[in-house]
Amino acid sequence: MSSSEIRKDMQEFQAAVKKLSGGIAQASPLWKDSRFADLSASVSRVASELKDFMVAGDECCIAVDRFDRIASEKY
Amino acid sequence: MVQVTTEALRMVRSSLTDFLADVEGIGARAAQQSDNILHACKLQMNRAQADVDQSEARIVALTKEIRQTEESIRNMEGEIKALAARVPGMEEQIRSLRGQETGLESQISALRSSMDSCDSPEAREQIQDRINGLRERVSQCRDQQRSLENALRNLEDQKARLQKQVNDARSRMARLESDLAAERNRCNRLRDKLERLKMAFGRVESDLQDYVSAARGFESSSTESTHRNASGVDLCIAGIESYLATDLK
Repeated sequence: MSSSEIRKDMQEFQAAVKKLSGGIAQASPLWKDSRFADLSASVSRVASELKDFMVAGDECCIAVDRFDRIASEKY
Repeated sequence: MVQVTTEALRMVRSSLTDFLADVEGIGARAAQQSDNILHACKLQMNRAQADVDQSEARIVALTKEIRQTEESIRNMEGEIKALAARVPGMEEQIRSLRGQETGLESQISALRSSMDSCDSPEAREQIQDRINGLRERVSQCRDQQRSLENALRNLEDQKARLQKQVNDARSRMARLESDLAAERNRCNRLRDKLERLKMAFGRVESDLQDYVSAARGFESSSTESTHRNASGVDLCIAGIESYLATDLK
């Protein structure tokens, strides 16, 4: 048992949000009106919400790793 | 003023659709991971508890073996003492029999001397009979001595055997006591490990709940806003296509 699956998911979802931001940014030269700014702000909020998920995931991984370390002690 | 192309809108639509696919099920996956991790944690804690139980059982067994060995040593030392108590009496009996033998030999010697100075055949015969009787008693004395000396030797052998057994038992006890001390130390460490595991598990449980909750929350809010944006982009595309399809003649 380890935290690797959680870390893998966190990396995947972080990559997904980065991919979304990148995809939206690619349209920027072709979309100049205020609606694009609205869309960008919406995507930024998604990125911001991801932080809570990442923090919770990190805390979880730390707790799981600590449990693993204790469990592996041999006497 | 509107400044957008259908190409830009389709690029955005594609990114939004890909994102929806990427985050779909994040909440369910987090919940499954949580279940797997909690299950694995419980197995580890059960293992740790079994280790403590096994160590405690070994302590009980070692303690019992030490007590039995102590009792065995006490019994054997008691036997040695009892055997040793018999030795003086037996030695005294042997000395007494030697004394008797010496006395009888003296009597035989005196009778021989008197026989030499005796003229009468009847008297000599009588003296000889007495000498024969005394010789028989000497022989019995010697037989009893030999028997007692054998018994004394056997007793000493038995004492030596028992003493060796006592020494072996003492060595075994020293090893058992050392093993017991080591096992008690190990048991304390295992109990401490189990307590720390229980505390760590509480933290894992709590953090997993927060993680699953965060995953579900992120999936829900990001999916909702992405769907909204995708629908809006679809409307924009439909609007532009309708505009481009308008026949202005």
